[in-house]
Amino acid sequence: MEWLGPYLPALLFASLAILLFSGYPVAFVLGGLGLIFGFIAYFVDPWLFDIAQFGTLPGRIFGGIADNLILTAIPMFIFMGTMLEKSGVARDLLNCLQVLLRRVPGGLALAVTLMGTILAATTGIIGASVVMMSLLALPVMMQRGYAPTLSTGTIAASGTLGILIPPSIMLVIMADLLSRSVGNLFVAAIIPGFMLSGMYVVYIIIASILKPEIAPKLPAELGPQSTSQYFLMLARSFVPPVFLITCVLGSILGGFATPTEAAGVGAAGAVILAFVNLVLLPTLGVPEFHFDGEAKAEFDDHPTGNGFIADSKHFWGVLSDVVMRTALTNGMLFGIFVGATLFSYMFRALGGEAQVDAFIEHLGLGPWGLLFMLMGVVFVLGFFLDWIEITLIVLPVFAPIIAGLDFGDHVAKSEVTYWFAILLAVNLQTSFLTPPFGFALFYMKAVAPPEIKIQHIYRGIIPFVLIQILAVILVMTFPELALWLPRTLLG
Amino acid sequence: MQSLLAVSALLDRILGFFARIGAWCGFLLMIVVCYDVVTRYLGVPKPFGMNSTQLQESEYWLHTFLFSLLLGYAYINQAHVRIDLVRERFSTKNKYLLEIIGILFFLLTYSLLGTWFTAHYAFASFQEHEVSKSVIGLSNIWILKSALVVMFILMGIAAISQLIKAIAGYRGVLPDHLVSLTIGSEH
Repeated sequence: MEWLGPYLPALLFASLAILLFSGYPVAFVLGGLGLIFGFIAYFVDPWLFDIAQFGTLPGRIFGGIADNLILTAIPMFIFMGTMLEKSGVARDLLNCLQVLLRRVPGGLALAVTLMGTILAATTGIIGASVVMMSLLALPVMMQRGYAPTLSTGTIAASGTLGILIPPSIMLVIMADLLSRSVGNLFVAAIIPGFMLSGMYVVYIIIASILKPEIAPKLPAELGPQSTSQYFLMLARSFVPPVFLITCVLGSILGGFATPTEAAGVGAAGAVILAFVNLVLLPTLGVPEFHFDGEAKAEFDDHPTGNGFIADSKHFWGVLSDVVMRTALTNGMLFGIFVGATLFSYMFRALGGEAQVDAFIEHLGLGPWGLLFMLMGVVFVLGFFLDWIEITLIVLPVFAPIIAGLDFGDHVAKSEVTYWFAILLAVNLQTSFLTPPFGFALFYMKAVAPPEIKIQHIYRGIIPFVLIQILAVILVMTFPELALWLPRTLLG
Repeated sequence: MQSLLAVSALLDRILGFFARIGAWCGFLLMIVVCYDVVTRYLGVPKPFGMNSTQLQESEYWLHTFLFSLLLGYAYINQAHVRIDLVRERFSTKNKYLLEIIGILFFLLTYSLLGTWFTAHYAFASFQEHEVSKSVIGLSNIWILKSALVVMFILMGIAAISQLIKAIAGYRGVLPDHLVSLTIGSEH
């Protein structure tokens, strides 16, 4: 049986590919398969793998995941985003942005893009953020007569922007796996992230001017009529969340706080905003801000204004709900983390890493060829897997290859990893959006009203996919887009 | 089957109990981080004579409790990611079958072996009176390492509970309200 030994790593990956599609939870397939292959390897060739080597696994889980201060930022970022969503702060922000942008062509689509950019900071799981944005914005856009193509394209693109714009959870995990600083990676993502968001804005404005029928003008009398009401709306719905997120990002960028500290303070800030929104303002008699009867989708289930005690009880209910949801999302994420740790260890123990190195040497692609190959692999994987599985399973295999790449004068060797991480993030986002497989599109279809067909979604997303591809090319050609800011800010 | 389903409901309640503790550890984590920030920048004294290193170490202790107490509970709530491209074409009965096979081959292997290895690991730490790598850090690292043991035990409890539900589903006696908690929603 010893002849089988060299094929085991390939078999391990092949079994994973097949079993993932069985639909059994990824976390358990990873962990179970890793252990089962340990036994198989032992029976095939005890010299290749000894059962005693299993004994080092708890240390890997402990050292990599438990005893790790960086990863503690993740649940707090998830908490912050969920809290802003469930307390109605996100919905108010969207309404407020609509009023602010009512005179601009494509105003509502722009409002959605901006909200995606601002809240991108706080979401993380692609499925969840696309669903949230679709539920929040799609009914409003349909009601205002926006074309289904433009509506769905805008929502899918800005809903997935969250994996790139810091504080993105994906960047936290990437930084951890690539042994780089989270703060630096966040800073590196700023310009590419805002560049993408800016390109969406330009496209929406041009499309709305050329074809006014796809984006009808918002009614001029939308929102509060008097100036004092107008400022009240700004003070209530716009300033607090924008201030909160600016503080979180600013403190990381300015180097005042570690990502963990910023996440903790940001999460606490979100609790305070929720308390103000759900208890304090209704008690003080500040009227909730609505367009009369409009846009009261599923998110409008806050029976506030029933006195301090009742509102506080309601707030407590929202808080416990958010605590529980955050914990479940975190459990899901770290389930894959633990499973992937086992799996990667097994892959390495069976000699998989050495084989990949040898294979790549054999291909003789050179740095650019390799870069394109890695990007291609990740792009295809993005059709089927969320970034969680991709970063946790594939990145450990790629990491040593990336670190060894040398692009000469194009990118300094010490900065290749940051550049690559940003490219990977934009590439993944593109993959999630590309028809026919891009899975952000399926999530969207699942929660969209029935009159929206998958064809609308496919047609609507194409301009945004072209923008994404342009962005990948730009970051590839001009690495300074990702590298200039961290060098300037953090040295 | 009914009595087994009652066992499953009891197991779910146990998982829910631990999950709530874990979830609020996450909330406590947020408070500890804020407290650490405030005391560091404003110079307010720390509680129980803790130093900043100990506070920071308690942050990842809390985070470890958060995810280790939630992994199993996430399974009985169908919060774990599944790749549904192929499975969604299966008949309901085959989905139950798939769940049974998945539990028997992957999850039970994983949780049993995981419990075994981590128990040795945590016990060694207890015997050695292991303390933090940092001289002024927290002692009793075995508590933190035991969280990993608890994680695998809870995973095993979730496996048994879901196995009972899936078998009941396969035999067509699973109550309706448990269907989506056994094989996921969209049914």
